[in-house]
Amino acid sequence: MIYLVVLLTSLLVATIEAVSYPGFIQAHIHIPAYIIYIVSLMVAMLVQNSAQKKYLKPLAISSLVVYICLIILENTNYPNFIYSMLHVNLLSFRTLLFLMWTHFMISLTKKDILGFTYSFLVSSLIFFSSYEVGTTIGFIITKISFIIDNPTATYRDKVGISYKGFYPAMELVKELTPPSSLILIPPRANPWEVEGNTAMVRYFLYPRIVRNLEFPLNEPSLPTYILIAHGSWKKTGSVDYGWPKVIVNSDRIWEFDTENDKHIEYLRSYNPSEDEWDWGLIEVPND
Amino acid sequence: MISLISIVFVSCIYALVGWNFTKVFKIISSIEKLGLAILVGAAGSTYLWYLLSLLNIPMTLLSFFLSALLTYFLGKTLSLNCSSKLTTNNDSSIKLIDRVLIYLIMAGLLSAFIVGSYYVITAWDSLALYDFRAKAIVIDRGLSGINSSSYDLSYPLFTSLLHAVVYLLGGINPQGIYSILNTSFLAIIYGRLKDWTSTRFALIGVLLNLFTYETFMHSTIAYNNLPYVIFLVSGFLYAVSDSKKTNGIFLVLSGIMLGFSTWVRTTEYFWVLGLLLILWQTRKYKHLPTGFAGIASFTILKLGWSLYYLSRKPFFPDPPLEPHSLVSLSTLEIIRSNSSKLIEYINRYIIHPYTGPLFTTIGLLLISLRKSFYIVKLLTATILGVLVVTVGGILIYSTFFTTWYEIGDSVRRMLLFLYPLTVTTSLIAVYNLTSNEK
Repeated sequence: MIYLVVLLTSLLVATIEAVSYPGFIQAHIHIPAYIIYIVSLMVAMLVQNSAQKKYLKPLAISSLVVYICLIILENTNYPNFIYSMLHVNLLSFRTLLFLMWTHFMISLTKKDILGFTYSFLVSSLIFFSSYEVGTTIGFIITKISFIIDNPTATYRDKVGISYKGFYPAMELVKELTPPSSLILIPPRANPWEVEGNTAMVRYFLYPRIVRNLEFPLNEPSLPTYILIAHGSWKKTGSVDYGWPKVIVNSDRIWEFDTENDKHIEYLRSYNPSEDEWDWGLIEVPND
Repeated sequence: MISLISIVFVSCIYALVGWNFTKVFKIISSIEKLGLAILVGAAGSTYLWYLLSLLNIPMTLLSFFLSALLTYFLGKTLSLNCSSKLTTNNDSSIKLIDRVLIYLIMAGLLSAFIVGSYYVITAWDSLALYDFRAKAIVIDRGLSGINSSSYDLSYPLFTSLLHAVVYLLGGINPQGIYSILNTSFLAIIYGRLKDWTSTRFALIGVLLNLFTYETFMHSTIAYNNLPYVIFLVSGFLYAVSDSKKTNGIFLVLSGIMLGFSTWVRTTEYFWVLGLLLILWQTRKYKHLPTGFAGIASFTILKLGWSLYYLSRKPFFPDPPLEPHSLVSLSTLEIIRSNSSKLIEYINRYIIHPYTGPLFTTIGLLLISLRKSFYIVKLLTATILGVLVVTVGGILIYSTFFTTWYEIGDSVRRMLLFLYPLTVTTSLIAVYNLTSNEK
């Protein structure tokens, strides 16, 4: 009877924390919840008998199944989905799961230090693996669903998931420039986090040499081009979109239409106030 | 489609090339033998291919096949006096629950291969380094385009060469190869657990390791953290596999796998723990020749890349950052002044993401103190050693790398091997305790 009361109290505390937030119990009755859990486990070690496993077993297994399902739902929707829909706090629910399994394992083992250690280890493994299994299944479902919806997606479509506009722009640069050329790109700063990163740009343009624009140019003998880039990342600082920001003398510039993989050629210099394009290219004259 | 065919074809090559090596080692399960063959074949072929390039042999498909052939004959030579008969433990009593476990494992492995093969390489580090190097190697037919930059040589070439082979075979996406490597690793986990526990526990171990989110996710992307985990953990597991009955041959295998872990990544020093395990086992079971051979194998494999890197250092325009001095007053003073940030960093990037494995480690520690399960004790000590090395490494790193606080995700990925290590050790402990109770 004592054990039943203590068990139900600790499970009630864990459930309340699971439908509110961790620390709720301490905030309202000024006793940390984990103290109640520890007391319940100590009582279980002292007075629990193996007959109690017949109702602990279904509780433990069902809580495990429910938790894994909740984790799967959380990972196939959005962060905090479960809390917003069901008002269940997954972190506290995991604690409830651990508590339930420790009580169940104690009912199966000898009531000594080793038995408790064994129960703790199995419960820890359940605590750890249940989250991992649920998250992995959620990941698989999300990825496989996309594959089923887009079975014939091309390389361009897939790269475009992460780098919309950037990849087709790089392909157009490759089309317009010889392999042994120098490509000058924006500074590596917001909003040119990708197109200003030499390592990223060179991946698509190698063996062309890629440099952030600086003077003097160290490879003046190579055909040289300057990338025109509006800025593919959201502006978070004081620097405005659009690059280059100065007039660049040139005989030839191109505007890129990355949606249709086309470019439009203009036989004139680049003017940032007129040529406000997402992507483009400037051919730097030999002199 | 060509990428899929290339990946499957080259995996078969690796398996064929590595198969002879497995005859040298007394492996019980043929599944483990296949997994080990693929890993040793992949690492050995790419390593020899890299060595051939240092002899000015262009890195082409032909030279890759030459390196694969050399690896094959090396294995053949080593296994000349070894019996090719496999002692299998045919467990004919596969129950329904075991079948369900097998089907779940197969579904998981197939999912990883499909996801990895479908999605293209877009992860930042993959584009900036690992896959870029592969493309540069294919275009330049060698290392000339990447050997003058400390960034490009910051990690050894294993993963980049795996990609390069797929590109040379006509593929455009080598990412699926990582799920093949993970499958091979899980085969080793299965074999080791089957040796120490039972078929069912081995299947549960494979399932839990497969369905660990971080490792599963890494088996679908082109990063070198998972290959590093694979070779490092295999090295640990083979070191603790040594016993009176095995005449020390596992120590050689451990040295080889630890050596190959340095062919994947060299920035971490966890191999020190592996060498300590080999030395410990050598001393315990008096397997001096094989213990020495294991350490020698590790050293040779590690030096192959380290010496090359040292030779290229004078050509780097920006020398890589290095610690001034490991133990000095100034180092200690910097650590002391960073202490609150360090505590927050460790809490955010180690304790929080690894709460589950750390919790489990507490259980393992309690069991290790109470019971004399030798393998559990060794592996638990290894896990604790890992945590000590990690914290120590963070403390040192924070003294000279100015943006250390901003790269917490790297630390999180670095400790990926805690998952397979804790899961495997826990299952061994649970099995031993369950058997004891009976």
